[in-house]
Formats: sequence, structure tokens, C-alpha cells
Amino acid sequence: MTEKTNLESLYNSNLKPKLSKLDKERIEVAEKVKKFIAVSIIPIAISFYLTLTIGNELPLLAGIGLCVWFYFAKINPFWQAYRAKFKEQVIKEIITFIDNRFSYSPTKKMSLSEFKKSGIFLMGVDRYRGDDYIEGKIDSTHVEFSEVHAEYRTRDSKGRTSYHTIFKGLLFSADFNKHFNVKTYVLTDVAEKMFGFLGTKLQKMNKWRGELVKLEDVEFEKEFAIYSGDQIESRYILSPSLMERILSFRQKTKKRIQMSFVDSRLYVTVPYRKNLFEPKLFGDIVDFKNIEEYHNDLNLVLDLIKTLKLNTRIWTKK
Amino acid sequence: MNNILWIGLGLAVIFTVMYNSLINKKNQVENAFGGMDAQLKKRYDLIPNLVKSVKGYMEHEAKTLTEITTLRTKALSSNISDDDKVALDNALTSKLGGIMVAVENYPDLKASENFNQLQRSLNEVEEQISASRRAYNATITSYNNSVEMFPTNLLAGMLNMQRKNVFEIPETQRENVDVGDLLNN
Repeated sequence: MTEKTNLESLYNSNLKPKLSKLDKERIEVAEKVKKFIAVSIIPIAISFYLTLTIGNELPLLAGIGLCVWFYFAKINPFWQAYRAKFKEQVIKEIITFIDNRFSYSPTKKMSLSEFKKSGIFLMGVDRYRGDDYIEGKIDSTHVEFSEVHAEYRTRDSKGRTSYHTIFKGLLFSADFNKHFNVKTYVLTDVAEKMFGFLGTKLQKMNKWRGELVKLEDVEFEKEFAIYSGDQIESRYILSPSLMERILSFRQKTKKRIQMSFVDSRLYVTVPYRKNLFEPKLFGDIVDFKNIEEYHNDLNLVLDLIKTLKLNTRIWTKK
Repeated sequence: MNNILWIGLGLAVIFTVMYNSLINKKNQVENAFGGMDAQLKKRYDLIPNLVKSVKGYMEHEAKTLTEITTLRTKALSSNISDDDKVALDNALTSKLGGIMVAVENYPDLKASENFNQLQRSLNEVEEQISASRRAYNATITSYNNSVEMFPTNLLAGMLNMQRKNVFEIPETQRENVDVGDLLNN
């Protein structure tokens, strides 16, 4: 509750004036986009008419191409400039408010090699994008995360390519508080939920990530399938209390989180449908509710560090 | 004639699969016990160091320290049964827990870097021991399921394989964990 009142006072003192200024820019950009849409109807209508009369699709394609080119050359730069400003002024402020040990780079992302290293998704990545990279050291725990979007490509019989999502959401990585040598994966349990006992049999045959580990926490087992190169070490990492914490995070956020323990780091993926930390183009931005939403999305990650108690340093790793 | 041959062959295959799975599970249990043993040894290796570094400070706990050393020597001697090993290990765990609580009364000791490192190592080993116990219990459960469930229970009966007991964590130890959690919060 106090957190909310603090955020409200930050909103009133710092963010509101900035947002009012930014809102003017947003309206300008929105006007441009509206005008563009209104004007581009004309060339498209003409080219459509030509296409119908000639019986050739070339004019329509040219018309659409012209409009797209015009948008990217003349309209998009304004939107990008506004977006960058918004992130620099608003999102950064919220991040600093949450914890001033975090640094924020709006255009940077978690690298593809980190994504691959996490080993949570085995499928080959053909296109990888992302932004909103946040990094920081909370006491002894180094933490980094960003929004990422990994996709694979398919070609149909006509040679058209299309991209399909492997993962979209937050990729989070933190220094883990225990030493370990092998890789351990905590994945969403699809097979067991759908096929029960037979699902377990199927999972056992899957040796890609090592052996299937059956843990004693029944609730945890229902949600997750665990694979590891070492039965004992996976249990050393996933102590009963950690399992409980992961489970409570899973239940609280209702997100299908997956994690891996690789090279002394913890990787977590939190899927999201929406694009995170993006400004609106249409609709008033001077609204506390928006700010609260950004804040809650960011706080979720911080909550993860707290919930998992990664700062508990009672083992030999300091 | 042909049918009988196929049925016989089918039965032989089923028998082999069941037999192999049972033996596999039995070996996994032994392997897991070995894993636990390895973790326990790690703790035994830490004990002389621990005793040496706290002896000078803890006059009141001299008796407990001697007991710990005796327990260690006993546990390391070669001619003890698995059950004895487990019992000795439980005794050792509770004694060590006692020492770690008593440390709170010796600020000098608590502040020493050497002891701090030892304590961290000990925490780590304790957690690893508990992990190996849980791994052991998981293999036992899987083994017991095979021994008691149809149809592998028939074969297990013929091979005279019996249900094994899971490793029970003593009541005192559970309490210790709770106290530790309370202190952390």
C-alpha cells in the first residue's frame, strides 16, 4: 500500500509534468498517422481500380508498396523519436524508483547466445529481437533481464516465408547462490498433465536435457517437469523451500514460467502476449493507471529475486 | 505350433523387460545410497577442521566436541552396517546443529573469517546431504512401486526382492530447519 502511495507521489511530482509534455508530442504523431491513413486511401483506391480494369495485380502492389515506403520514411521516425523519449523519461524513472541499483538500456536486449545458453527452448532460432534491457547488482546478486522475441521460419509450398513464435516475453538471468556443475531444467509439465502416468513414461524417454528428476513435492511435480544431468545436484539446487517459493511465484503471477540452472546462473522465462514497457499512441497517457501497469510489470521481476531469496548467501559461494 | 512359438517369444520378451527394469531399480537404490555416502564423507572430512578451529573458544562445549569426534571415528570404521551408518549420521547431525546454535554465544568465533568459511562449507554439505537423501528416497519409492505393483510384483516375489524403507528425517532435524528459517526472516 505504501508502495502505491509512494508511486503516486512520484507520479504527481515527477512524472505528470513529463507526461503532459510527452502527450503533446504523442498527439502530433497520432495526427500524422491519422492523416497518413486518410491520405493513403487515395493511391490505394486508384491502384485497386487499375488492377481491376487491367486484370493485373501489379498496380495494387505498387500502390501498397508506395504507402508502406512513405510510412517508414516519413511517419515512423516521429513515432520512434517519441517512443525513445518516453522510455528515457518515464520507464527509466519508474525503474529507478523501484531500485536505483538498476540501469536501463531501452534498445539493448539479452543476447541470443544467452537465450540459447539457457537451453529452455531447443528449437533453432531464425529471428531474434528484443529491447528494454535492465541490469543491476542487488547486494551480491547480479541480475539482468530484457524483453525478447524468438521466432523460427517456415516456407510453404509457394515459397512464402512466415515466422512463428518460439518465445515472447521476459528473459531473466541472475547469479545463483549455490555452486553447481551440471545443467538442470525446470519446465512446464505438459505431458504429465495431459497423459498422466503415460506422460511420465514419455518424459523419461526424452534424454535431451538429461534424466527426468521426480521430486517429492507433489504440487511442484504437477506444474513442472524437471530434467538434470545429476539426480543429487538437482535436488541440491531445488531444495524443498526453493520449490515452494517457485511454486508460489507461479501461482501468484499465473505465468507459465520455466527456468534453468546453467553455468552457475539461473535463467527464467516469463511469457507475455503484450509488448512490455511500450507507450500508447492513441489515448491519453497522463494517467496513473498506465504508470501503475508499467510498475507492476517491472516489479514482478524484482519480486522474483525476493521470492527466490537469491541473496541468501550461507553457502561457500559469496 | 507357430502360435505357441510366438506366445513363448512374447512371454520371454516381457519377462526380460520386467527383469531388467527390476534389476535396474535395485541398482539405482544402491547407487543412490553410494551417493549419500559420498556426501556424508564430505562432512566427515570437515569435522576435524571444525573441531580444531572452535576448540579454543568453546570451553563449555568441550564434551560435545569430543562426542562429535568419537562419532566420526565410528562412522568411518569399515565394519558397520548401513543402518548403523544412518543412525550415527543422525546423531552427528543433531550434535553439529547444537554446536552451530551455541556459536551464537561466542562473538569472537562468529566473526572469524576461518570459522565463517567452515560454517559455509558445513551449510553446503548439509544441504547436499539432504539432497542426496531425497534422491535416495526417490529411487526407493520407484523400487518399492515395482516390487509391489502388478505385474512386476510377481517376478519380484520369485527373485525374493523386498520392499525397502525410505529414509526418514528425524523429528529433531525438522525442528532445526524451522528454527533456521525463523532466524533468517
